[in-house]
Amino acid sequence: MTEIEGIKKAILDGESIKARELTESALEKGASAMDVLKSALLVAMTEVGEKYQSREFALPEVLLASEAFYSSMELIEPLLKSDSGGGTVVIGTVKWDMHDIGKNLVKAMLTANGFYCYDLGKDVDPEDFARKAKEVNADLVASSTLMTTTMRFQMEIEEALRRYGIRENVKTLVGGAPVSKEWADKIGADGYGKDAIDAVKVAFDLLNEERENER
Amino acid sequence: MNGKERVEAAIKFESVDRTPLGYVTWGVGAKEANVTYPQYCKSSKNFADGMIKFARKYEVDLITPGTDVWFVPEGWGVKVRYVEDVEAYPMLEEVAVKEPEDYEKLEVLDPRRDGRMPVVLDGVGMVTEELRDVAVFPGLFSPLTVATHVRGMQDAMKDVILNPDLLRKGLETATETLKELAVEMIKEGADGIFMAVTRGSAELVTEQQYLDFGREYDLELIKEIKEAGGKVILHVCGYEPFLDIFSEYPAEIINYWDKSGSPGSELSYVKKKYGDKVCLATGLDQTRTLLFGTPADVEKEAKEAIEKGGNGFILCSGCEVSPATPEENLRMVTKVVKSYRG
Repeated sequence: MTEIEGIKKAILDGESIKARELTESALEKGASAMDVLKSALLVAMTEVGEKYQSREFALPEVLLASEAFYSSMELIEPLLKSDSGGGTVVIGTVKWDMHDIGKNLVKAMLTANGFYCYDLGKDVDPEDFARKAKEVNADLVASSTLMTTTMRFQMEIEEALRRYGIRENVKTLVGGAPVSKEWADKIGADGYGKDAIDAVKVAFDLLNEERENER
Repeated sequence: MNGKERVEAAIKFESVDRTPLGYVTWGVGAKEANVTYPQYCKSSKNFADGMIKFARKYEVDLITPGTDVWFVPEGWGVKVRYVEDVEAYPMLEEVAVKEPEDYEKLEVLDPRRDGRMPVVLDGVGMVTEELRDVAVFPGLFSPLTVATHVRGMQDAMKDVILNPDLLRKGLETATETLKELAVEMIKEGADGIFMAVTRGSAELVTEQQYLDFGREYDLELIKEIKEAGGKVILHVCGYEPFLDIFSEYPAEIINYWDKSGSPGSELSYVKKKYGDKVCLATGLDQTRTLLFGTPADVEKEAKEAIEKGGNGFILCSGCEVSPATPEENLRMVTKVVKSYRG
């Protein structure tokens, strides 16, 4: 088994130490960071997503796979360009909400797909989303919430982006258990991601649409 | 018939003068009591005041008094941050089980002494004293859910694979604590327990993982509730709940989110498949319809649910009703149940 295949398997098996060791070995033997990302990490995380959607995997397996993914990603990230072709994302869980598993999974899938994510963590003020988006010239602001009482902060992110004068330059993506397409439309968000896989697809669609418009 | 009688009749699949109405009531209490969330969840009086006002205002037949998810875990040392706002739920700051071995250090709590359980118990007593005509099912969370609150969701989920034996130690302690809490709630006059199983869905664990880490402890808790003379509403949260598993539990009522859009969740289908075994409490989408819909949307949804529900049915929100829910929407639900027979 090659290192690349080994990294894939280690991620699927949720084995962080093995994933890291094999990534070190692959890089030492001359594999490029982009090779590792595209041929191992992206392929593995796509399969993790498929297994989750088919219910072969659930959260325990997905979390361990994500951890293994990050143990490899930590090594290759400094070697990649800041934006590996996807785009720059500011991501976080909204104010007064500490539920960050969904956000972390979206971040992992976006990262595997070449997006560069600035993760603001959880309980993030709307203002902080806007400030960071302006600072890093983000393409996308992604926010998550698990509670109906904190959904309104996704609306406040829209307002904060307008106050910072960057709403026209950035796409917004919302997600979380009580969130829906209707909610996204109501608050003027550009997209809604049902789960981590869907979020990546929507992110690509939004940014491709933006790039088409710029041509 | 009063509310308690209606709910009792629905449990027995007997006819009722009108469809019983219930809500999953937690955070709405702070708004009704006109206090901030910390003032609500740290004061028995405010907690009871909020629940009683909500129940009377909307003429409900069933309520599930609760403050928040931390009133038990705080007893084990979980640290929570409070913000003085009516809608700011307490937020987890620090878990109690930092390392898997810490599960073994947890001790069975005394519900009359530890965490905010005394506040909740006293509040439940005030609610049952005042709402004698309403079915009162105070809420607690299932052992697996509590384990995730004490350990942190992410680490507890990983423990399912990495540290199953230690996780089981934690589940045993949580179960013993919850058994004692449930018995005390029933002593305070509760008709039964609203047992929130919020980790029993395919979006979180596999069916086998739930059988391994959820069911055994749930059943032990339910047995204790029954022995204490209480009934059980099983609140099955989330997308793709394991209704095949939960319909076999000896619970009187299953409350689930029929509008989640997940396969096999639609009310008519569930009613046909499990509705002769257990009374269902659902029909109102707490987010799309109650929170964001118009009174006309609410009226349509409530009427459809009543038509599908028949006997053995309680019109209820599929999950917690948000404190931000417009009053006119809740008033419309009351109007429908009082006037519409299906």
